[in-house]
Amino acid sequence: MYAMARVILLLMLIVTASLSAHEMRLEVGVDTASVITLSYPDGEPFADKPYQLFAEGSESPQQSGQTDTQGRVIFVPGRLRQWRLRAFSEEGHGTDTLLELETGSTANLSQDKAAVPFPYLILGVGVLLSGFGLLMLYARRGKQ
Amino acid sequence: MHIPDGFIAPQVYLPAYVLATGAWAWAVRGVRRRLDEETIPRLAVVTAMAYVLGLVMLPLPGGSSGHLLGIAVLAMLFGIRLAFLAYTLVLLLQALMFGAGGITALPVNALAVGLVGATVMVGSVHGLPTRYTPAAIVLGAFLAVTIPALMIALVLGIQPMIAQSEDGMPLFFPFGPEIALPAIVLPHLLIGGVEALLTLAVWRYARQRGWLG
Repeated sequence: MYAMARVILLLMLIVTASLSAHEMRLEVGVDTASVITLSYPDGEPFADKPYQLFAEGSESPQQSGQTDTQGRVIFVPGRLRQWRLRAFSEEGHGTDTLLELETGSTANLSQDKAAVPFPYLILGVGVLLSGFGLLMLYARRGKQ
Repeated sequence: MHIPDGFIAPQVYLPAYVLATGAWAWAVRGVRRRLDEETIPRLAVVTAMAYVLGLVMLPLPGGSSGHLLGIAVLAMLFGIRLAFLAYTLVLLLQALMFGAGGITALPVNALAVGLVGATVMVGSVHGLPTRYTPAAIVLGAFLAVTIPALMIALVLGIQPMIAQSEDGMPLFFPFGPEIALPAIVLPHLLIGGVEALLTLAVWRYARQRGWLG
């Protein structure tokens, strides 16, 4: 009888010990993270959208998830500097960008890179009109 | 509405390049005959307008943003071929200068917006019995935005089925058609409406000056 009780007690001890294998250990610490902020060209945060962050040369993402409500991706780059960020929204906006980041650095990305600087806008119009100007000369020459 | 680089798989953009090259070759034929000293300055101004419209982002309900295209105006004034070529130029410039859209996505964007959009507009204006009426202009311009939007949503929506990693993760645009279609097409109903109003205004101006055939 006692032998049986000992066996049961021993089994219970073993089972109890194995229960701790399912325990989740949490460690809260302080580290220096990098912050990438994504926004639409009009300044609206690119919020709650899926992203993937790839370390240099890696084909599987080091980190993936959703941007936060401010459109941010927060991560600890460690020693790695080159990163590739892919982020998408359902309506077809997003980015696939290479970034060079050091620990603690930040990057602001306007999605689609379409936050157009005014001088570049004017430059583009200039390029277009110049091209058509040349076409005009070509058309005149053809008629002569 | 531009698809950026990195959103579509090579299995899609490579055949699209082949198709677009054929379409560009078709569009270039006879272009010299259609370009005269009166047409070129107008085409230059309207192409520049389309270029600027494509870069001015308008906030949309739901936190997203969108832009007008200008393809309906191009098609109404210059026909399918010139509109297609001019819009391709716009897309190319936007991609090279600002990264808006992309080089890999260029043929899909050009075919959907430049060719199909222009064809829909010209078809609506010339195909309907009410030729060059405000109703035909408005309908044509609206469809010239919404039908390309539908095509782009379908192209994006099939990407998860086309290219996946070994563990099943989509390698390009990750949302299926059930998500991409409403997310892309619904905002473009509003954009299509604004584009229709813009096209109508240009139509009135062009009609007063006898620019329309």
